[in-house]
Amino acid sequence: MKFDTFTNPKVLKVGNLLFYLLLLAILIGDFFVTRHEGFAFEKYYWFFAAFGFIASVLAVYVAKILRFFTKRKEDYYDR
Amino acid sequence: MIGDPGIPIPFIFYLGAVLLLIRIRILERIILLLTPTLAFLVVIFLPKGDYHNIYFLGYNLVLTRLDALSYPFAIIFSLMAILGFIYSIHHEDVIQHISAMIYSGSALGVILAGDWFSLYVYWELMAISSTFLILARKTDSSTKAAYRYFMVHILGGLMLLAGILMEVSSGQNQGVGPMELKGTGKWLMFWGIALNGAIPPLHVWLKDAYPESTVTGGVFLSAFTTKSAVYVMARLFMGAEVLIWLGAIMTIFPAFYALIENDLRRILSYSLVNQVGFMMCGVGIGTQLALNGAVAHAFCHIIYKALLFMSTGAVLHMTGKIKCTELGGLYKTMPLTALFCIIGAASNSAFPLFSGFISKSMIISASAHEGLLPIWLMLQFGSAAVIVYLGLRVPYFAFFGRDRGLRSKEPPGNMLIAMGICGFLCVYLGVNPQALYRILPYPVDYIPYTGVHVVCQSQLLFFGILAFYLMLKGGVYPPELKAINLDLDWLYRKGLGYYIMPFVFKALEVVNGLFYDIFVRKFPSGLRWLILTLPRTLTLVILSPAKPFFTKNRFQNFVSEVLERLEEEPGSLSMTFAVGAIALIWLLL
Repeated sequence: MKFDTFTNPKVLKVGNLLFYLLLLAILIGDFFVTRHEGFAFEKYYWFFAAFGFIASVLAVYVAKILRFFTKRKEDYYDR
Repeated sequence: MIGDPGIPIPFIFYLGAVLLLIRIRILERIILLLTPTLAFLVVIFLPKGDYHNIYFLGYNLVLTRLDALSYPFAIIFSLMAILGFIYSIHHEDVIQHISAMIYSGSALGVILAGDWFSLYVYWELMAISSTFLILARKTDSSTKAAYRYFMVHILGGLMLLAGILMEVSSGQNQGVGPMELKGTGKWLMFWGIALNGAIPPLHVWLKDAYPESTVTGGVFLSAFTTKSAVYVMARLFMGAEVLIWLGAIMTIFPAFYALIENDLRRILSYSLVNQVGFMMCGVGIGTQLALNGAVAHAFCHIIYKALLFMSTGAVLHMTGKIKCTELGGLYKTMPLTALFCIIGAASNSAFPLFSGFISKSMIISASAHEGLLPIWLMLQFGSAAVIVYLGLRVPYFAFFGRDRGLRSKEPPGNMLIAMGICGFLCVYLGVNPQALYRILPYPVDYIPYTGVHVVCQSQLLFFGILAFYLMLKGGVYPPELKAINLDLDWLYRKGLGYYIMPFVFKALEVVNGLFYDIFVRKFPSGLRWLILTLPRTLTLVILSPAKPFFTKNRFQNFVSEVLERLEEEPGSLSMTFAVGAIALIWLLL
C-alpha cells in the first residue's frame, strides 16, 4: 500500500488555500463570541492570534541561541 | 458485580508476572491481556474505601485505599497497562514482559497505598522494575543510561525514605495525607517525589533514560513514573506555592530543548516534562478547578503521550531509526501510523475536539481565576510553543518532510490496534468531556466548549502553525542536525558525579541509622542480626564471582568501589539494597 497524496502539487495548493481560509474564519469568528471573564487584555481582538504567532517565533529564536551554547558532537559523552 | 478481590490490586500483577515464567506462548499472551483487564475491572467495581489493613511491627498498613483522588488515577493506570500490553504482546522477551508487569502493578500500588511503608516499597519496586525496560534494549548506551537512571532513582527514593522516617519519628505525622510544606523532613520528601516528577533541576534523568528504552518499554515508562509523582504531590502537598512556579518553569524551558533535539523520543521526553509542568502547576494552585484540571490532564496525557511513544516506537521498530536526520516521508507506506501520530500530536497540542483541550484549559483557567498573571502568561506560552516543538515537528520530521527513501511497512497488527484504541480515546474524550469530568475528585461545573474559548485556542494554535510554516519556508526554523545538546545530566555524566558520590553515601548512612532506629530495633535480637547481615552476605556471595568483570571501565570501577565500601562498613541496609539490585540486574542480563 502506498499513498502519495501530499506530494501532489494540486493537493498542496488546495490545502494551502483551505488553511488560509481557516485562519481568516477564526479571525472573523473573534467578532462573534462574547467575552465575559479573564484578564483585561484578553478582550482585544486577535490577541491570541498574535500571542500564538509571537510565542512560536520567540521559542524558535531562543532555541537557536540555546543550540549555540549546548550543541555537542553525538559521541561527546563517550569520549 | 466484582467486589473486593481478596488480594491488593498490585498483587494481581505480581501473580501475573510469576505465571509468565511458565513460558508457554499462548498462555503468555492470555496472561498479558487478562492480568491488567482483571485489575481494571476490580478498580471500576470496587466501592471506595480502605481495604487490606494489616498490622505489621506496630504499624497499620493500608494496602488499598480507593478514594476520590486515587480512583481516576487507578482507572487510567490499569487502562494504560492493558493498552501497553496490547502494544507489546508480539515480542517474546519475557524479561521485558515481567518487568512491565511488576512496574505497572507497583505504579498502581503507589496510587492505592494508604500508609508510608507500602508507599515507599511500591515506589522502590517501580524504580527497580522500570530499569529493566531500559536495560532490555541491550545496547551499550542503553546499559549506561539504565545505570544512571537507577542510581538517580535510588537517590530520589532515599530522599523520600529519609523524609518519611523523619516525619514518622517526629511522632506528629497523621499518615499519608495533606501536609504543610515545612521542615527538613517534608522538604526531603518533596524533592524525593519531585525527582520522579521530573521537576527541574531533577528532570534530566527522564530525557536521558526514556529515549534509550525499548520500543515497548518507552510506552510504559511514559505513563507511570511521572504521573504517580503528580498523584503523590497532589495527595501530600496540594496548594504548595512553590509547585506553581516550578510547574510553570517546567512548561517553558523543555520547549527550547525539544526544538533543537534530533531524537524523536527525546523530543517527546522533553514534551513530557512540559506537560507534567501543567499538572504540577495545577496541584500547586490547589483550588478545586486546578486540582480537577491536574487530574484530568494526567488522565488525557497518559493516553496521548503513550500514543506518541507508540507511533514513534512503531517507526523505530520498523525502520530501526529514530532520529530526525534519518527519517522523513514515511506517510507513504505507514499512513495509519502517521494518522495516529497526528492524533496524538493534536491532542498534546490541545486542539479543540482532542483530549488535551478539555483538560489543559482547566488548569490555565484556574490560574486566571486566581489572578496569577505571570503564571498564566507562562502557561499560555507553553501551550502556544507546543506547535513548533512537537505538534507539527514530530509528525513532520517522522512522516513528511524530506523523503529519505525509507519504505517500511505498517507495524504488526497488535501495535496498530493499541494505537487505534488510544487514538479513539483521544478523540472520544475530546468531544465527550463529561465522560472524564464525572470521575474527577471534585464536582465539575467547567464547560470547555464555549465560543470564546474555542476561537481563542484555535487562534493561538493555528497562528502557531502559520509561524511554523513561514519559518520552515524561510529557513529560520532550526534544521535537524546530527548532534546532542548539553543539559544538566552533564553534571553526573562528565566526571563530577564521581566526586559527589562520597557525599551521597554519607547521607545514606544517616538514613540507615534512622531506619535502624525506627524499624529494625523492634525485631527480636536473633531476627535483627539476620536482617542486618543476611542481605549483605548474600550480596557479597552473589557478586563475588562477578567481581573480576567489574574492572573494565569507570562504571564498573564504581560498582566494585561500592562493594569495597560494603565490606568495610557492615549494616548498611540501603546500600546493600542498592548493590543487591545492581547485582540482580547484572545476573539477569
